[in-house]
Amino acid sequence: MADHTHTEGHEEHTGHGGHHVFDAATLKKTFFILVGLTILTVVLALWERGYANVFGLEFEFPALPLGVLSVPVALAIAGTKVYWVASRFMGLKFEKTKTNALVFLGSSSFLLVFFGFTWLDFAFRDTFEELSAVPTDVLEEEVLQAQEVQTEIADEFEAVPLVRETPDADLFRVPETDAAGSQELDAAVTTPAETATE
Amino acid sequence: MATLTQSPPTTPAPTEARVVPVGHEPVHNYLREPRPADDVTGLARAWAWVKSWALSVDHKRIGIMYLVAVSVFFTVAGLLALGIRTELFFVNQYSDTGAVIGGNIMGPDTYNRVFTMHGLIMVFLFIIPSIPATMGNFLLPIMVGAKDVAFPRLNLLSLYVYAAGAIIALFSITTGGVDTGWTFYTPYSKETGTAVIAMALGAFVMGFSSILTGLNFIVTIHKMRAPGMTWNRMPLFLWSIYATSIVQILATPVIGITMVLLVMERLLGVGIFDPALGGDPVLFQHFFWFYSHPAVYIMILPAFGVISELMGTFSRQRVYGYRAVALSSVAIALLGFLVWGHHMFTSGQSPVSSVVFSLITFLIGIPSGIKVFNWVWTMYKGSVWLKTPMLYALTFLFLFTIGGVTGIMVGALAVDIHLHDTYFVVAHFHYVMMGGTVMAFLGGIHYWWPKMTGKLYNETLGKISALLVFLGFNMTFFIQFVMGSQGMPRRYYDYPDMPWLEPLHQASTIGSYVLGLGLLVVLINGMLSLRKKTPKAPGNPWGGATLEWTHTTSPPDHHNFHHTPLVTHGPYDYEVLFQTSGDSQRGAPVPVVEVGGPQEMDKSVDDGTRQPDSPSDM
Amino acid sequence: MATSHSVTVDDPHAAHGGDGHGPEEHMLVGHDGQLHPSRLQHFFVSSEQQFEASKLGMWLFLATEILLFGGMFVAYGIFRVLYPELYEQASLQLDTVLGAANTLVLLLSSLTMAWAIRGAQMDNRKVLVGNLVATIVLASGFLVVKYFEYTHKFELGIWPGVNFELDEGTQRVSDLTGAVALTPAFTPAGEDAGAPEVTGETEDAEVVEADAGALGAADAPLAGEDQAAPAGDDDAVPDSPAATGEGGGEAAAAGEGVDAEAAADVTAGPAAAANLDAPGELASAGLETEHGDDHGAGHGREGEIFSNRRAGIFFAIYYVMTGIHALHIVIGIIAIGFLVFFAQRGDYSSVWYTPVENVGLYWHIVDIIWIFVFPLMYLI
Repeated sequence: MADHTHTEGHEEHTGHGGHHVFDAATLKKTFFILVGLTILTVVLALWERGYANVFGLEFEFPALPLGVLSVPVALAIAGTKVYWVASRFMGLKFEKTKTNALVFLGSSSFLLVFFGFTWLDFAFRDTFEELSAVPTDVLEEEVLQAQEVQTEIADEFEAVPLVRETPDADLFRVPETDAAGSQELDAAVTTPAETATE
Repeated sequence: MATLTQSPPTTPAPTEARVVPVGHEPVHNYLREPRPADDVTGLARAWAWVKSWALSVDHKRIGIMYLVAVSVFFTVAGLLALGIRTELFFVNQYSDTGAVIGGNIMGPDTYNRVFTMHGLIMVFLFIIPSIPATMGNFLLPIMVGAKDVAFPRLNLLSLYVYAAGAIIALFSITTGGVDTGWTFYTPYSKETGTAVIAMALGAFVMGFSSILTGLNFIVTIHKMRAPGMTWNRMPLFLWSIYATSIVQILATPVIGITMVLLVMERLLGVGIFDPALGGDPVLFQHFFWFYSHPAVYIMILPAFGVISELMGTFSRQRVYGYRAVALSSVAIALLGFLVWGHHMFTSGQSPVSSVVFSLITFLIGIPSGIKVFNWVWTMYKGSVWLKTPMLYALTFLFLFTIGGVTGIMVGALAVDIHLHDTYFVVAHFHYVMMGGTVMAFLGGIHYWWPKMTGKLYNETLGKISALLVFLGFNMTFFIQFVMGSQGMPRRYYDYPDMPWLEPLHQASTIGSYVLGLGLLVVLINGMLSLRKKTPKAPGNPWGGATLEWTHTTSPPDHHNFHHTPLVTHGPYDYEVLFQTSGDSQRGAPVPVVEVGGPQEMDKSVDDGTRQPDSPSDM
Repeated sequence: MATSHSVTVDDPHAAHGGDGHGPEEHMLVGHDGQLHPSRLQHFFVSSEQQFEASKLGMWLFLATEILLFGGMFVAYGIFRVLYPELYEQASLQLDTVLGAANTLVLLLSSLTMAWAIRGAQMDNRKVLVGNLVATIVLASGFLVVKYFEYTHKFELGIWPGVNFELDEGTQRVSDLTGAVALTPAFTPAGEDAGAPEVTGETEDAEVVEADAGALGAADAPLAGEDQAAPAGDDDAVPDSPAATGEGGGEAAAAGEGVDAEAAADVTAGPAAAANLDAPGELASAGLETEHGDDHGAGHGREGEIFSNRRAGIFFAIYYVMTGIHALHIVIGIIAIGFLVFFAQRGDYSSVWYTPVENVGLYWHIVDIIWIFVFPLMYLI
């Protein structure tokens, strides 16, 4: 084995074996940045609501109309905080190779893939089809409403039964079957044609 | 140029590189070392021997223990499969009241449990650990030139976690098993009274085993390659194991959380998969398949690696397109995460995502195709040696191509609407999983058998088994493509409205018995080879050029290498081997060359006067 | 294991002898007659290689943690896309101040953890042990706050999933669909209005098969029983006896009284009505004895969430996510406890402090998870 003692001077911030030693100032700076970002995100959230209840004291103020941006902004702030924790507290910034950073970023990106493709399903459920994947209870509400309407209508109109006891006298006339009767039948048969041509 | 010796390969001086006479491996092989002291006898000796294996952190011993375990589970699940096929042999006869009075060997409820357990045991207990945990564990450190994996104790823990998961799964079988199908779809998996929670926990635990193994392999490959082994000099088997491990790390936690959520659903009624509470059962399918599709790549990528090794060695030629094959493994691993929705085309997911998933499914066929072409081209103008491992490799080529192409067929959205949940899909995945992975597993076991056990299997029996397996497999599953396209649904206990399918089912069942017979012959072959009177195998019977063949004995020494090898050529440079052996006969076994200083060898077999045996002695 | 592990070739890592210097007691004479760091495993070439390998292994494990929690984040995200108003209403029930305090506590614990590693790197045992202990204290504080948050919620009847106690008159989603919730709704012992503690025990754990056909099969049960009118008006519920007989058979057969009807969210009108009444009354009744004042039903239970039929979904995700996170905090505390024990003995120094580094990485991931959980659950 090679000589195990060596007395060359180290870099300022490398310990034995060449590891980076955490620098006090960096750690403190990172912490304060993180605290600041936390305060920022809380303030933004409360501002959005337009209402805050802190230790029993209630405040109301005009709300910040972020609207649809509220989620991206919150996620951006959270992402920044994660950057600071990962790069400084976990030491990714000071590593010799990028392998660990790749592991971290790679797994995070696959998480995004998981979410993205699943979202692709749920967000486009009703494409091409009106009733696909509408939440069941919403569907049932529509059914209920339709039934309400139907009962209202039913009160006003008398429904025609589908099945009768006796055939409709107008529709099903059964004439006498004799020679004279057959002429009647012929006459009866031709009538619709005549009426049709009229 | 000289391979791994530090002096020209002429008459070796005792203190320099020396040729170990073939067939005379040192006594300190891993099967024997460590072992109880000679003065310990009787029961204490037996117990000490058990402990030396059960608490061993030697990756080779762990690999062998995994091999025994997965073989047992393969047999169990295989017998369940025979039960399924036997049940389907006849269309059942029904009485007037609808009771089954003939043509069956089990009731419908039992049938549901049988096919579920067949799937669960095969997937989680056999095929996912099959090649990585057995051959990966055994070979990876040796191929990489290291003395063990990065975390040997974690390796042992992985084995025990696997065992714990298996015990939990078996416990759930004793309480009646599960009847949901191995896919555990909600809402039925929430409702059914069977042992879903136990089985889900078993799957959760087994996932950890998979994660720990993958973790170990990635770190070993990244940090422990021998000097001179660049990424581009790694054997392709290692590239595929590396890709597999990436998938294991990224995908397996998701099945973990899925099982946890399923258990919560059953126990606490959390309701995220329950439409009655506003949840969505299709969400469960997304969660489940996000793991289970990459899982099938966990199954097939190591098989690709084995086939690369077999193709190279048994064509006596470099594997064509090394970089393409290596990078296609990684590409499959990564792309495999983007296609899970093709299991859900008929589930009610949005048409947009169905189209996207279908498109990417087509894309993922490309790297697989690249590999197949490269393997075929490897054989071209090579010296193809049709030993049993090569027979399995050729079988793989044929069967996996069929399986892969039919996978593309069901990956087409419009086609899958009709073929989903039919026997067509069943045939497809058995072609890739069994015709693919299991063939590669068998080929790899035969190939590395002399390395692992120091014995050679019987070649005649090997060829017979390969033939039986090939015939039986095709007879069983090719017919199922036909049945499926005619509408035979999968997981059906009976088919009374399609009695014209009965002859097809019967042919399939007979095929399954032939297949079972072939696998039995494999087992017998293995057992026979382990007898004392079977002659010992040479160090490199196949003439492989990777480190396990050139630098270790059969079986390897307890510590793999006495000195770290220096790698100066690629893994398929067979010409270099010819130079050292000075032998113009292709296909002949090559002497093992050791590097470095004094060897620790059993004095009784090495007195320094022995000449290298001539190849014709083999 | 009696073999040498000397390297016969040029290994850049071996060149500077690994972590060669440091106190002599960290060096052992290897079997090749040379000095080696005592912690160096035989299959590694140098301590440097071993440390880097160990760290990579830890990072890979953290990748699995990211994917594990990621699954829950996906569930969160999907339901947010489906039911955005649910999240806005529900997050009001989570105390922002406590959540922010917990976030700051965890950030501070990350600082102390990193500082402890610094202590190990600088061979300063006091700094190392002190900061490890501080981390444990802060983590425990996090858990204490969590405990209070949870218990306060349980008092208000905020349980996960099907057990969430909705306001009177709010129909459960299951009542609308005709399908049956598959685990019984949690109701504390029906008649005990004076029960001071709402326990987690469920009555009559019957599992009723979801009648998938109920959705399409019979209009009668739906039309008859699932009017959106406030429950309790039995006359507004014209049950068709057949439907009640089928669907309500289990519950009816199970016995009389609130117990049986509280057993499952069955699509029997009167049963459902009684079911919905029970939690509201009991929650307030329980609270009366709890707080000793005469606030009416709904004390503390202000907000639209209590009449949102899907509240159970949000809180299911909330409890599972924060619960598993808290479990990881507990595991972390135990791990750091081991570190304190070994650090006190003097096991760690600048020569070897790998376990401290690895546990530190784990702790930071736990913090990162919370950094995302906090705004997603509490703020937006």
